[in-house]
Amino acid sequence: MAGNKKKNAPAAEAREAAPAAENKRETGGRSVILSAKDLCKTYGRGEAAVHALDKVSLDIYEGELLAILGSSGSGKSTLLNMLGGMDQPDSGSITIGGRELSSLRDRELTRYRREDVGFVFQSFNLIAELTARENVAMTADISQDKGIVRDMLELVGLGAKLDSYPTQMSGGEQQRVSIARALAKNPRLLLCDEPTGALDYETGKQILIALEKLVRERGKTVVIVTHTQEIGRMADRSIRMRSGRIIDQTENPEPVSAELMEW
Amino acid sequence: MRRMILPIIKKYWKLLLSAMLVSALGCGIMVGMSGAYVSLDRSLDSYVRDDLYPHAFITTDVVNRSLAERLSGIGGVTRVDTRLCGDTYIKDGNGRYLSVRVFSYNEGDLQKFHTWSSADCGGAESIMLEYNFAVDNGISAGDTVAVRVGDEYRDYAVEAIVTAPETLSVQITDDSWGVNTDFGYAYASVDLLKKESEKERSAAKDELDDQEGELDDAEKDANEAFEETLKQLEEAKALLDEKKAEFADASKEAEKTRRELKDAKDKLRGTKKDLEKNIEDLQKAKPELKDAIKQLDEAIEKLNEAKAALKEIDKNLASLNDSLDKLNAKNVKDLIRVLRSAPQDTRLSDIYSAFDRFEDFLDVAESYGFVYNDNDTVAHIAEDIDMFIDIVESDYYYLGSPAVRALIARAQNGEDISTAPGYARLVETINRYDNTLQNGGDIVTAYNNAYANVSYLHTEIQNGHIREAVMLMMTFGSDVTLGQMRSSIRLMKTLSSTLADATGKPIRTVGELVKAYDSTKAKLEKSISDLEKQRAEIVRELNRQGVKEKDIDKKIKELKKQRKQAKEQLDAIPDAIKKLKDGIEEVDKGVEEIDKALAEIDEQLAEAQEQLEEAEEEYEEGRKEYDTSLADAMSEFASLREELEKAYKDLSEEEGYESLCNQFMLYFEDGADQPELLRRAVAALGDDAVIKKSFVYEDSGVKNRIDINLAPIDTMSTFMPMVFFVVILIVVFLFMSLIIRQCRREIGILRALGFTSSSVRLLFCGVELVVSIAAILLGFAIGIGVMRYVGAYYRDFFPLHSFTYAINVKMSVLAAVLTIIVGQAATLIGTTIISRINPSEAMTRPAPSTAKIPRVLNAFTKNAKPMVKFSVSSLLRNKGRFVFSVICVAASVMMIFSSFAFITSKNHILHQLYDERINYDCQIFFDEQPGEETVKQLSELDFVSNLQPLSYYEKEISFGGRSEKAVINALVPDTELIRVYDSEANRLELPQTGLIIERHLAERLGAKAGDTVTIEGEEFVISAVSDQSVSRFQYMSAESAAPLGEGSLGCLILDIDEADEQKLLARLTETDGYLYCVFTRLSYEGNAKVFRTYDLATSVIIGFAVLIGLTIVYNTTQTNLLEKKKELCVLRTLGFQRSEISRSWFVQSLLQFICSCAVGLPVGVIVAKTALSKISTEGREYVFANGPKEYAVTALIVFAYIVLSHVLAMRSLKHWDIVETVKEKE
Repeated sequence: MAGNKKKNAPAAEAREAAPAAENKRETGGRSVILSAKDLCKTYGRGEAAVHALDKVSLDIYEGELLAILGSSGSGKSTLLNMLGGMDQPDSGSITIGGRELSSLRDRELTRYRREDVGFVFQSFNLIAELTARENVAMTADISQDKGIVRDMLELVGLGAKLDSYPTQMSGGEQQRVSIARALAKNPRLLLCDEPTGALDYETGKQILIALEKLVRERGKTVVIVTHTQEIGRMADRSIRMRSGRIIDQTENPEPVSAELMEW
Repeated sequence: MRRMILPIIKKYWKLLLSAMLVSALGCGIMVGMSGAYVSLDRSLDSYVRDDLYPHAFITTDVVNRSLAERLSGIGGVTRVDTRLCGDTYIKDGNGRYLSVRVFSYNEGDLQKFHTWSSADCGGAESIMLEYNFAVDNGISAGDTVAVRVGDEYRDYAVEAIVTAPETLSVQITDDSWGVNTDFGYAYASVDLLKKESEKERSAAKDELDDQEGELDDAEKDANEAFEETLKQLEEAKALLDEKKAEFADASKEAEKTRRELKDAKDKLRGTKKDLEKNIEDLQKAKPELKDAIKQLDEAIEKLNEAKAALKEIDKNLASLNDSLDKLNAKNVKDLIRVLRSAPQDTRLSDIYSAFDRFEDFLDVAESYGFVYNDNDTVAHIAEDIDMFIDIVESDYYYLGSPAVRALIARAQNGEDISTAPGYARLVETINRYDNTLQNGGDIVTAYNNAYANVSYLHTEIQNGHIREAVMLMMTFGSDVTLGQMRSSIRLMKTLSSTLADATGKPIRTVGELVKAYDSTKAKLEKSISDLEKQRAEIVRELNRQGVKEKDIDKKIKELKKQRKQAKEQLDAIPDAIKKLKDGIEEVDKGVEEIDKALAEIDEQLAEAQEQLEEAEEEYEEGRKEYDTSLADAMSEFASLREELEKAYKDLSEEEGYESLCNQFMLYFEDGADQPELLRRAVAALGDDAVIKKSFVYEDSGVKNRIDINLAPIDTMSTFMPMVFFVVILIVVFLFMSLIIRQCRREIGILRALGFTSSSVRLLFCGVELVVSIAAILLGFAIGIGVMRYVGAYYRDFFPLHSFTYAINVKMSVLAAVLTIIVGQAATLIGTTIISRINPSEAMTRPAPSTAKIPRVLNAFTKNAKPMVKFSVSSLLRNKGRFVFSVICVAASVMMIFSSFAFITSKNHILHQLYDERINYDCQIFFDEQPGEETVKQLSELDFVSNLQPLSYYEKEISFGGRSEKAVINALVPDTELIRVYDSEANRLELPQTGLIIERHLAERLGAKAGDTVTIEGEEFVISAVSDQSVSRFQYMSAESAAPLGEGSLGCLILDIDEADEQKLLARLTETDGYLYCVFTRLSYEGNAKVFRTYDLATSVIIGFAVLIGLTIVYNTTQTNLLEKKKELCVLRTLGFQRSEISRSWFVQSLLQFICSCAVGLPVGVIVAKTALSKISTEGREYVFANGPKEYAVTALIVFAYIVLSHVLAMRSLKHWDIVETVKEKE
């Protein structure tokens, strides 16, 4: 792991310097950190072919809270997976920090996920055998900053549950550990796939508040994929998808606080 | 349901394939190794016994044609060959000297050989060389070699390269005596070894001529003696015939007398019989008479009883009738009739008192002059009663009047009132109620009495009692007279008293009296009736017995008379019997006298007969003796002549030769009793040959050596595969259990769909059966491959001309059956357990649980990175699988380690023998201990160093009543050429006196260091006990061995360079008494070659163990990976590289490796020690010699395949669909 530290250091420096470099595109006073263009993805062949994404183009700006809305099968999760470097489009491109994801090899894609992206899953996907601290520490081990485990857990309000196992925590707590785990790497982009999907209303609301806090107070860029339309109201921008296409894109100059939202 | 089999196989094909492969490997090694051994055993057996080797050998001091023909004549012996054996050496084309043991044969007697190559020698003297010897020394068929024959070398063409039983590789090590022979074998004509001696033959001829002359003379003398004897015998025969005729006449006369006596005897016997019958009759009559008397007594007694009973009954009847008559009396009947009409509850006492009152009034009436008699009726009297009442009342008032009282008062005062007026009336009145005055009493007393009486009557009247009494009387009837009344009252009193006694109850009322009367009367009537019936029955019984009542006394009298007569007869019987017995005694005396007379006659006849027979016997014996002697003499003469002729023939054929090892080789008919035939053959040789040794093939050294050498191969081909297979079965069991657990969801679905538990079990058992059958088929295929591979190695090694492959049917069937049973058992147990789970629960993937890391590991993982902890937790999460994996790998460790134990053990043997004990380069053997001159000459050779003599003694060593045959080596003291060690590897110094004995011998004798043993009467102290893996020699100094005489073999041991070996051999050809020499180098190579057969078996086992371990670890790693696929994909999503995951996951493999070694190595030690002890023999002890190196190499091999399997398993990470996997729901 000592070798990894050295390898990771230049990348982190580069990332810190990124806003001033050509990696960042200014659009209307906002910096685009990721740009997707004409993304297409088809599953199956012939009559059974399903167009998961059909020429989807999208920019994600730094520090924004973007909500991708749509019903089941609309292609929103496929889009999220592509943005996170977990899936490759059949055509189209995704550019981040000057790098074209489709041209990256598996090892480089992994590095992209390690250094640039944080994932929050609907079903948390914590390691059951590890405590909250260890779940977060595991990702911290591969990031440049290993001392932030406690900070991250305190950030999501779990400072008192450091040594609890996932099975000893509620769904909301688990999801917050999941967010802390994603943040422990200090990612440029936090991708959340239905983060409230497996939670009750109150717990879900707390998660949304935590995510909102990350954007508003820490300046993180967060993308939330959800089928709950109401969540779009708290986002700076919301995109609606249907049948693999973006059918609507709405700027929200005055986003509603998550605390005030009801759905 | 059957349709489900294919989908299940399809879904779990990898796991099932793994299980199938593991089973197949187990089957394969069982079938293959055991088959290879069976093939080797059969081929060797067939090759040596059926093809090459004679059925039996007899080693004698001499062999020749005539003895061979004698043996051929034994039934069941089909062929007899002879051969000579001797040690010599040859010079090959390069001038090298090679020790050979030559077997030489007569033409046509050649035993069979397998020829590996042959050449046409064109009539030259030829020799055949053994295959290994020829190959090792580069000699081919057609080459010419110089063979030392006697004192010269002759050129012999190598006719063929052959294999014979003596030359099989297995013979290289002769464990029985510990002598390693590295010389070759050669086969040649008898001329090569035959020793001729014309001088000896001539002397023998002269001797035979002398023997012939002596035989002629002896024959003539014998004939004359026989003629004289025959004449004497004929005279004796004539006399005997005469005496026989006289005896016949005497016998006839005696026979007549005997017949007469016998007739008389028969008559007496008839009389005796009659008398005995009479006695018998009397004896029989005695109990009969007793019975008759008894019966008469009983009859008399019965009649007396009947008579007494009748008397008693009559008496009772009279009494009863009397009582009944009284009750039936008319007055009683009348009274009862009256009483029946009276009120039944009237008390009898009332009646009696009323009548008394009535009588009182009658008395008053009488005083007034009214006298009533018994004939006056009660009604009549009752009519006067009122009048009487008035009188009494008047008197009462008169007497109580004041005037009367005043008058009485005056009288009381002593005044005479007789003159007073009214005195007369007073006196009259007083006298009616009292008679005091009439009896001269005073008037006052009389007045008082009278007044009292009248007052009583007055009171009675006033109370109405008087009238009531009258009324009561009236109830008996108005016409009842006073007399009747009075008698009735009396009768009533009597009757009530009588009936109260009869019934036992008090009678108080009229009703009770009437009732008692009735019941008493009825009872009397019944009793009378019963008695009459009883009486009639007794009379009837008497009548039945023919006795009339009136004749009872007469009958009793008659019976008493009969009894008296019977008693008299009984008393007379003893006297009668006594008289009869006296008669019998008389008869017996008569018979005895007759018998005596007959015996005398018989005795006289027998005596005469005996004398005749003795005479005849003597004659017969004499005749027989004469015939036998004549025949024996003729036979002996014939035999002697035959022997003489044979001796002439043997001599003429010039075949009588002697050598060290001459042998008859016997061939028998199929199915013959070989030991019996051999015994007969040995007997047939008799004293014509000194039998040194005789044995059939089964008891031969060759067979023994084959068996000894096959034993370890057998163990390694059966025991080790069996251990391996047992391990495999455990693995398969666990594997199948694991697979069934994997199918939990499918089982849940099937159960939810309504399939029964048994149908689910059937389905999975079906799947398992398919797997088992496939495994068995594949296993057999692998086994046949292994068998052919290993078998080919054995064939080339020995070498065997032909090799028959055969499967070990028992082991193969066992493997197949166990494969199926174990697989089915695992499946049944697994499916049964899961079938019991609720279908909905079974269908759900078990929720991930946090595995508790054991405390021992916690110390290591506490500060470890989370990834490492995750990896360890994942491994321990399924403890069953972890244990399974550890067991499997431990089994693999055990197999590898124990296989190494075989290799190290045989290396240990070689090391002990050739590096520690034997420190010389060469042993030179002589027919006897070489003299000092020879030793000096050889030791002075410039290429020989450190030459020392060594003597071999084969002696019996005795201690504590036990004796054991042993080989003793007598050495030079302080020798460095042979080193001896004790069981703790300490070197033992050769003692100046005493001896060092070997551990096994010491144990058998029960001796220890310090004890004194006896060898041929000499005592030796045991200085130490040695420990030798191979061979069982005892050691002592040459000086100590001096009392034992010359050794059985002479030997010199020495150091020599390999390059100088030929120089030594060249020099030895000129040395007297030299037999052969053994180079340690060649001996070592020979032994090493034998041991190499074990390497193959161990290599195969190691290979399979590695394969099993590899498969298991791969599967475990793969399964663990699949179980944590989602988590690992999440980690990939979070940015973990595959290499990072692989590294952390390798901790699992490491843990398995450590645990497996910790378990497998100790078990391996146990298994190895067990297996080694199984193949150890008396002559070769395999000890466990694995050291740190073997532990390390085993661990290294296991580590290597664990790394390999890990790498292979991790390759699957590359093909995982991260997106889809992460999406999967728990």
